[in-house]
Amino acid sequence: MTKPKNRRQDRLGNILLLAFMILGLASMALSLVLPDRDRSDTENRHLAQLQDIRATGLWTGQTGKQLSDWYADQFAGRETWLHLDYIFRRMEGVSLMDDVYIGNRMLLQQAAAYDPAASDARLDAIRQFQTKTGLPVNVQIVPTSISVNADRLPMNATAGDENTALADIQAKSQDLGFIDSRATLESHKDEELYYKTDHHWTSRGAWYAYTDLAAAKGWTADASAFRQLEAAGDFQGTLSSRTGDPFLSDTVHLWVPENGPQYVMTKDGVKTRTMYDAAALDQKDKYQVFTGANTGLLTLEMDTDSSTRLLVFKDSYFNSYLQFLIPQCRTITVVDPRYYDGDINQLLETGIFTDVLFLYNYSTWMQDQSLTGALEAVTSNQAE
Amino acid sequence: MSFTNLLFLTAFLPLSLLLYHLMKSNKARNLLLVALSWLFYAWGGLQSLVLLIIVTLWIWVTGQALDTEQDPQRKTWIFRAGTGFLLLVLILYKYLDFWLQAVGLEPLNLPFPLGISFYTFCAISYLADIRMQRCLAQKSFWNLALYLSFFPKIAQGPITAYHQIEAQLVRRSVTFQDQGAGGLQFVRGLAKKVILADGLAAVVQGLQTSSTFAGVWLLSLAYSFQLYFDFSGYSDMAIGMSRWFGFSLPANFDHPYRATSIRDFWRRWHISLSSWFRDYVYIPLGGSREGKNALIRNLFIVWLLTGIWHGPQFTFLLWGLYYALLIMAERFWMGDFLKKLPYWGKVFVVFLLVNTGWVFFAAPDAATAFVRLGRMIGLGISGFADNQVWFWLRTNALLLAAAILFSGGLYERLQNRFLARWKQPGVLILAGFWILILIICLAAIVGGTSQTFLYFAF
Repeated sequence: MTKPKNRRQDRLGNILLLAFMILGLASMALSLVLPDRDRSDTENRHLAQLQDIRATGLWTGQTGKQLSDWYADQFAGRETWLHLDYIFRRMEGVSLMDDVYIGNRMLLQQAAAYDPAASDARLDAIRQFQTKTGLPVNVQIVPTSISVNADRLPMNATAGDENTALADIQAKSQDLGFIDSRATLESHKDEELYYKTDHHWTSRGAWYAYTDLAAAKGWTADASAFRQLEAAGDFQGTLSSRTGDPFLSDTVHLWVPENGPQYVMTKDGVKTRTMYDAAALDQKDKYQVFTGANTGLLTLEMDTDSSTRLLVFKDSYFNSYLQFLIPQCRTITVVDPRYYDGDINQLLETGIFTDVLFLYNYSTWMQDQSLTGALEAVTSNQAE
Repeated sequence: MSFTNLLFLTAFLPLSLLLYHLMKSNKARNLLLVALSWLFYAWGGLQSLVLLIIVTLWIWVTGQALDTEQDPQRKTWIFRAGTGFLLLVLILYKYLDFWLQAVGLEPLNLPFPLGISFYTFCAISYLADIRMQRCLAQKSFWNLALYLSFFPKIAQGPITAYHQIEAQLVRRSVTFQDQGAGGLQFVRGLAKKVILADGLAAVVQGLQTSSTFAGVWLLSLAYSFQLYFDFSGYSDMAIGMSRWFGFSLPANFDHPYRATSIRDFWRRWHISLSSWFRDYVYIPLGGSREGKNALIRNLFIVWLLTGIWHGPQFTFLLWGLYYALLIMAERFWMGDFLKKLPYWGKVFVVFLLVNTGWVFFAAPDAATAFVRLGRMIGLGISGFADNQVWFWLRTNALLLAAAILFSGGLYERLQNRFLARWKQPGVLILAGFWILILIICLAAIVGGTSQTFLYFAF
């Protein structure tokens, strides 16, 4: 005869089996009954769709993988489960999730490792570009949040070698008009220079970096010349998506030039009279309020007497930086080599540019290889 | 499909159980389980399923031939041809590319069939059991197909010998006790995998490049516990869900880090593999019955094969050799030393030796393994510890403590005492605790933080 203790264990196990069956079948039924969603705002990505599954992958297993991905993406209550996962992991003591540190009231993305050879190659490409075009160049590689906010990291977490790397890059690019914003950003670090939940900097962070460029170029940098508008107060950016953090959120501020020049922005063939995309404020990625979604090329033409016609090579950090350049330039042509598939030589052949700016954050500078390719195309063409 | 696939956990498995219990006859239930197992396996690609069916047909035909053949010499040749083909298939899919690349030739790039090492050993066990007259050939192709492809065990075992399961293929039932024991073991296995093993995987990943003394030690300890909870978690899930279908599979782990000798460790770790080598290689070779030299030869053969079974890489060969030497050392001189130690001293020494072995197992190559081993004794270190080590230690202290406690028998003892003390309310409290664990596991799986099982690579 079974001992009472074992009978109790059996009862316990049967309750668990019942709970497993109910949880599983109820989740499955809900997942199948509820309509499929196109995207997850929490994760900031498109979700797998049933109609995209192809039977042609049955032989290799691709179809099985697609079905599993679709089911997982459309799983009932997915976003609640994601937040629960975050809470449980925090309770376990986890402070690093998907390369993002859970800092003191701030999420901090690990920066890319320093690869001197790759960085030097990019600097050389810019150097050759400068030689071929004869245009005055400025290179501004700005620190990421983890470097400036290292004191908000969890105990014993390290910011990596970003600061040392930037010092090395600066030392190697004195002939390229390198603008070092580390000290400026460091001296204002208590002013929310970076979003707590996103990998970008705030308008304020971009402003302080701009003041360094302005000093180098002899431009004005008066904060009172901009009207600071609170555009959104519930921004949960990419780092929230990566960790599942449901608690932190940010405020997005626009710095609109007061009495600034009228201008027209041309992006993907569409002309608008503002660089701000108000529709983005209703979306998950509210940082897109600055010029909208990433694109390879956009131009701004200002109604001003300035003689500066600026060509910019950049990553998405530039999007919020752009608002400070509007009062200073006659035209601004912005190339994001990651998305640009046109011919930069054709842009240069217009012959209008007077200045060139390369603006990148440290991580993109280290990881993105598209800039070198774009510049090499210029130099090889000019050499012919 | 993996056990931690959301579709498997919340759709495939519950629906399979419902369907199974709707079937009345054992024959219908077996057919259903074959269909479900083939569907489970085909999820990774029909090409792997075709190979599985070919292997099943091959051993079915060979088994019938072995059974009907009366001439002993011809019987031997049939057995050799049968197992030879199985080994050739295994070599073709698992080893050949590595060897081709080693001699500078182009690899064939054949897709790796999930669980091929496990089901090949099951197939060999079937032929060997007939050859050794432990069993008769299975008359029903579908029963044999179920033995080989039963979805709880096909991907990662346990490597159930045919004679252990033969009777259950024909007659079995699911009792209240089966359901209960299966439920507990399944949820415990899921928790071991998703909470402990996958949590420790982050520590292992984070410390891969550590060059400090404490860093390499923490890396090796985290890996030892990760591997244990990953593989034993899978085995618990497999054995637990098998009981829901009326199958009683042999245990695969028995608190191996509590072992008091190396031989004791191998009676507790991946029991089904060491039993397979004992029954089908070591004993047929003569075991320890034919003198010291034969014993040494047999031990070397078994342990080198055990190493090679895990993969063609040199690190697995070294790992097998390491155990061959350890077992011999224990037999001839270290055993006396161990016996003199108190219980915890034995456990500590054996764990250290096992932990050292896992360094070979975990390293991408032999050079890295030796560098890590050197650092574990203070050679070539960059310091005692750095912030990175303290970070991983501090943020995973709870997990590491739980891993150490749960690798012993503490939880079982606590649960038994709790149930004895609190009786029925205790059942409900523990049920609440385990349902919370189940929810935590599901959240981790939805969150995508769950990792592939380590033994899928074998």
